[in-house]
Amino acid sequence: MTRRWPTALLAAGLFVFAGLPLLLLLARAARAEDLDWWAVWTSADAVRALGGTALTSLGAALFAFLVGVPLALLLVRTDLGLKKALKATFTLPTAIPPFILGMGWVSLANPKAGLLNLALGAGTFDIYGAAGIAFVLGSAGLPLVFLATTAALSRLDSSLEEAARISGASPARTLLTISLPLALPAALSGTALTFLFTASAFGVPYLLGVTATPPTPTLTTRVYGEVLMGSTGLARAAVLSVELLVLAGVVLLVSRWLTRAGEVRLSSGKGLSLRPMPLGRWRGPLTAVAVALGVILVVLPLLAVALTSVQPVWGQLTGLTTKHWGAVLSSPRTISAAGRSVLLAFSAATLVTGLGLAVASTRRRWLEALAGAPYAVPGTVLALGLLVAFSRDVRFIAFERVAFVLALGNTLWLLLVAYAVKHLAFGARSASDALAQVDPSLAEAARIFGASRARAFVDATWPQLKGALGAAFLITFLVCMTELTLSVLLIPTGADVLGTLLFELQSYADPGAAAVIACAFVLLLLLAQAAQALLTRREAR
Amino acid sequence: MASVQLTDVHKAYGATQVVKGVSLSIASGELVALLGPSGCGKTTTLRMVAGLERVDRGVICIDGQEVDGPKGSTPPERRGLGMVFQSYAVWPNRTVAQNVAYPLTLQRVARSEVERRVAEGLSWVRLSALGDRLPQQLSGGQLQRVAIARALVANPKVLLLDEPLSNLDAALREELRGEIAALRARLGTTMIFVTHDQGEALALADRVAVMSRGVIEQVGRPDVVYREPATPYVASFVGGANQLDGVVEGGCFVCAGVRFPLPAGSDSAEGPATLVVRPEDLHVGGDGPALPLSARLFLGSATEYRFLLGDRVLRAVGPPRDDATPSSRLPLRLGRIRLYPPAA
Ligand SMILES: Nc1ncnc2c1ncn2[C@@H]1O[C@H](COP(=O)(O)OP(=O)(O)OP(=O)(O)O)[C@@H](O)[C@H]1O
Ligand SMILES: [Mg+2]
Repeated sequence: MTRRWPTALLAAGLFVFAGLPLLLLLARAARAEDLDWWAVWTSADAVRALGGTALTSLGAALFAFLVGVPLALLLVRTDLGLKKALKATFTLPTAIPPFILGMGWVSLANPKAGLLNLALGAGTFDIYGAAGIAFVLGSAGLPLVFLATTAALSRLDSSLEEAARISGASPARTLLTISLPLALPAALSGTALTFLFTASAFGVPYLLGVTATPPTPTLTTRVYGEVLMGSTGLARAAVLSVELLVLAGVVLLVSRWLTRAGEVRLSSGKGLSLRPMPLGRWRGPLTAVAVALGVILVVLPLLAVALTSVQPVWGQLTGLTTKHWGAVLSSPRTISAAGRSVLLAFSAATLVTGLGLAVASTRRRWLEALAGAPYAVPGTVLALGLLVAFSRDVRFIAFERVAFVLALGNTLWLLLVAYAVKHLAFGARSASDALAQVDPSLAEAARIFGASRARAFVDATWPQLKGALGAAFLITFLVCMTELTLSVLLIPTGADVLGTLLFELQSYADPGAAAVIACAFVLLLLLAQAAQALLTRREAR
Repeated sequence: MASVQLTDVHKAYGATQVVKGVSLSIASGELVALLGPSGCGKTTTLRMVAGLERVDRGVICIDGQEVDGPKGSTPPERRGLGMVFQSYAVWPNRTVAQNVAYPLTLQRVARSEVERRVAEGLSWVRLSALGDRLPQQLSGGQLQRVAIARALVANPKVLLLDEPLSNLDAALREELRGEIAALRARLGTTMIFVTHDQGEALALADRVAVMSRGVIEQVGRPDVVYREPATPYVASFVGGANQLDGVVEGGCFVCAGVRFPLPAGSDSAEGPATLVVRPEDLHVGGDGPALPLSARLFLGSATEYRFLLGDRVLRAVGPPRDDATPSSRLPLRLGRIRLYPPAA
């Protein structure tokens, strides 16, 4: 399966839908003659936006590190209680859009009407502003640090720690001087990803930054603001997004470097023994702390969303009502948005898995790297690139005949392209990992017994791939169902998807209705996870 | 240097009893080998001495002080021991010297003193030139030497070794075995050495404790355990003796219908018994019963012959013979044997 033309076709497709838009975005910025790049970057607004991005991203990364690393140490290396439930709780935010967590925190800690402030007196907590953004995105990005650290710690043989104990180190000292340093490269790389994740985020900074007093702009919300201004705004947005792109590149390089610099051979794999360190009398208190963190960071905001969806008047605890649920679930707008989202997410997930498999099947590393690249590009920048490349007013700028016969601008197709390109990394990575595990001799055996190439694939190779590809499909589907950043910039006028509806209802009109949609989505997600867990358990049998 | 006492120590993992009443007294400066097959509870016993596992029942004393028992347990970091793990457990992100220095820094030894003692420790295991290397840059034998230096550098009361040689190839094993013996002669540290290799145990230990399924079958000097195994199990594990269940009848041992004349002077009561004979004490030739030869293995210094007796295989070791061709029948004669009451 290493024929040439599929490789060329895939590379061309990636170029047209990912490389070209970014190039055109740069071109668009460069072509604006009346624009002095330096002036755009150094304008007071832009400096404040960059400051906001840097501050919130650093804060979120720091928070995720300080919470995620100790949690991972406790969960993997000690005999902490309730490990399974805790692990599930802290990984849940990977699947929940950060915007929904943000909504929960607005309901909890709006300075006047938040539930916590109603309980503890107005103004106790204020979720708006840089600290709030960093906190919400830090807890949403927590799994990045937590899972990376957990993975590294799981590969430590317990005898490394036991040797330290016998050398005279207490349990705490052992964790700090032996286990932690060995997992630190992975933890730092996860932290860098949290930084990138926060810098690229749009929904939460918009929700918590724009209406804060004083407003806390970030690069992404600033770019969005400029785009809304029309043509000159678009050029300024393009210039600003270069900044974001450079920031993302630098962070990725740092993360790559950290991962590589810290590569110590942890275990040969075979005979790895994991014996959790007994915490003794600290077990109870530390378990309680971990549970409290899980409740505060994950459960509480979700409960707040649920509560908001049944409150008659937002911010007032005056009984319960089902009026929001009734209104939202019967509103034609919600139904058509949900329909569009399902359709788009399903198509995008199909594309991502199919193309991901195709990319991985070429077994060309550079193509895989290329397919994974758009995921690292901040969503705002990618959307802007697609907007520039495929919207009508810029269609004459370059390569007219090749790219722009595709009249994608202002259609749902463009959104589909954006979803698929952005998440192609999921499909390519899963397929490539799965293919690496596939035993080629099974397909070869099928060929020898007379199966055609296609038949051999279906009978022998596919069964070994479908688990990983199914997982990639599911995660892409779920992420695209409520995708927000790409959607708000690329949605055709007059149409909605769930992400934009959620954004609009929460930001402008009706938080109760937004809460219903968020709630319904989280319920769906939990159901999907339960179903998947059930399926894997049945398959394991 | 310290003594170690285990008194009726029990340990279970869940419902499976792993150590079932081990009592063992180790004198100060002694090297005792815990010898037994895989899964018999050697590591578990050692880990209880180290403090890495709690005892369920029984008492462990180090230097006369109770470290684990009904009254509670001293954590490993306060027992003042050294331990060498089968998997080396050398910290991969620290240099050789940093690995060895770790126990000393925990004891708040002054820096210049740390340097001196690390250098001394590395010279014990002949690694003085490699102090700045990272573990990735070392071979298995060198890694195990680092682990030994690290375990010894802080003058432990007792050095625990859990199969320290079994991850090494044969030549290295010999070499490191010699080094451990030399180090011990020099430092005189009390040592407990876990192994499943009888050669290692016999060569190194002052006393050998043979374990089977969670109990100690026999403790004694290597030569005594070898010459006078207390049970058929010990005999077959130490020295690989043949073990036959049969009946003593008129000066003969009858097994699977074959009558083996007992050597003169064996004080044997008539009746069912278990006979144990080492391969080197089972002689090919003479006037004994002839058995079919199933295989012949050339060992270098001698030849091993395998005979079929019913459904069992009898092993004999002796000088090469020309008449030992496949499927030939050869006579066998019992040399030194031991008879035990029949197995339950
Ligand atoms: N943490 C544990 N949980 C459950 N069972 C265990 C645990 N550790 C050991 N065992 C069981 O206890 C028994 C004795 O184990 P132990 O490691 O002491 O054996 P060993 O004599 O050291 O064997 P080996 O020579 O293979 O290292 C084994 O059957 C093992 O499966
Ligand atoms: Mg063992």
